[in-house]
Amino acid sequence: MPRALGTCAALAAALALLVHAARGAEGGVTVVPDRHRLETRLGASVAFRTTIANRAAAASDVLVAHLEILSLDPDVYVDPEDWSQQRTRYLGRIAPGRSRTVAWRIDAISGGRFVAYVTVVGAAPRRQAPAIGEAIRVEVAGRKALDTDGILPLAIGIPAAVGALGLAIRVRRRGLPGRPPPEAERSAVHGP
Amino acid sequence: MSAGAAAAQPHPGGSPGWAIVAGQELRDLWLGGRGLVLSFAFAALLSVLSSVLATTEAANLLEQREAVSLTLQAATAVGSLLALLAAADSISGERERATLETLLLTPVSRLAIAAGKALAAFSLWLAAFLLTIPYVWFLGRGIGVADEAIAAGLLVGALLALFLVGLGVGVSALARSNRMSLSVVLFGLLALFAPTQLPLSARQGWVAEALLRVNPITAGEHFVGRVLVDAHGFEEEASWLVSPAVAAVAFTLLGALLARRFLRLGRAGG
Repeated sequence: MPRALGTCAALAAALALLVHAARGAEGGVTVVPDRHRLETRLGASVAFRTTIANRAAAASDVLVAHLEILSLDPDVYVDPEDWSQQRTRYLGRIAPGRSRTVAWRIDAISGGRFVAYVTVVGAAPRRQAPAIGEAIRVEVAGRKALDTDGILPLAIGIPAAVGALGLAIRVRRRGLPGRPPPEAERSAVHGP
Repeated sequence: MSAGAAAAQPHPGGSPGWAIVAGQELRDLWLGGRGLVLSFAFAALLSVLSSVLATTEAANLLEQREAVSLTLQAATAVGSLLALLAAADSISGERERATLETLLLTPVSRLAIAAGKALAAFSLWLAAFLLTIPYVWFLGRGIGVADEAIAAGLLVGALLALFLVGLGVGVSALARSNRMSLSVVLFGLLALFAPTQLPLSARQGWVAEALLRVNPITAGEHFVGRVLVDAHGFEEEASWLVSPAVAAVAFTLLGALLARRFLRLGRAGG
């Protein structure tokens, strides 16, 4: 009898774990991207889709999908808001066995290697891990195009040129030391 | 030689009065040194700003576009300010310096006098814009926005400069003193620029958008930002240029009317 009870308890615990695992990823919701690799150039936009499916036997919770982007290079800063204007989508409930496809667009504003992925959470206030889609590797060719070299000659040259022009006009109007200005010379020649 | 003395001189070929006044005002402004001093200060400001922006190592493409937009908007704001101040001084300043009488005694209409002075004030914005071109070109060429930046700066800057010059001339004609004229236009300019500092969240909703569209300054700033930072086309954002264009025409006409009516010696209306 005690052995039977122990066996039943172990089976019940295993079953509870299985149920918990099955419900762990937001109650049977799966997130699948349509591609796992994207290649583009700096300044271009790329699009991809994710299919959010409800594998459970009951309708899902009200779902919210969110796009995240991170850099694999620690020296490249990523602000996801700069990469995508619409990172959060409100999906509502998904019927059992049905799915929704969401299109995403990201603007490649930095060069390097990045990862994009979509997470889906339920709106109900209960403890449950979000469903996370597979990572999409994003390779952006091209580097920073702002030319930092050469600004110094421009930054010094233009004010210097304006200043020199002003000085030249001033000297011409007032004359050099010891020499009358041009207007005075003309008056001396032609009279008042 | 003052503008009044120049206008009183016989001019073979019958140059129009506004051209004579404009020519003399331009000579006073640029050969007299004041214009070049202001241009030097303007160029120094742009040099500091563009140097800081250009040497930011970690800037991404969006931040680089924002750098170009910021440089252009700063240049537009300061250039317009210079034109506004010159316009605000144009009539009330002459009145206080007791040189207006000479000008009014010439066979040049009040409208022509105002037009000549407005042109001289406008030249300050034009010089500022020409000085801006190499900075914007340098910052924008690597990311392919130089042409759009220069075109947007010319379009928005010219409209705002016309608007502010018209405003300045009108206020200058009405003001009882130069101090009042400068105070009023500076306060007006601050009031127009204040909404540009609103956070993004405060710019949502139809009421906020309507206010931003009606204000020529904020409308112009929005247009430049959309074209340069968000990479929208000119046609797509053309509706934001309506209020700058209307303001340019309306205040040019208003300034001309006020100058024609109130350009006189002594207190306005006396």
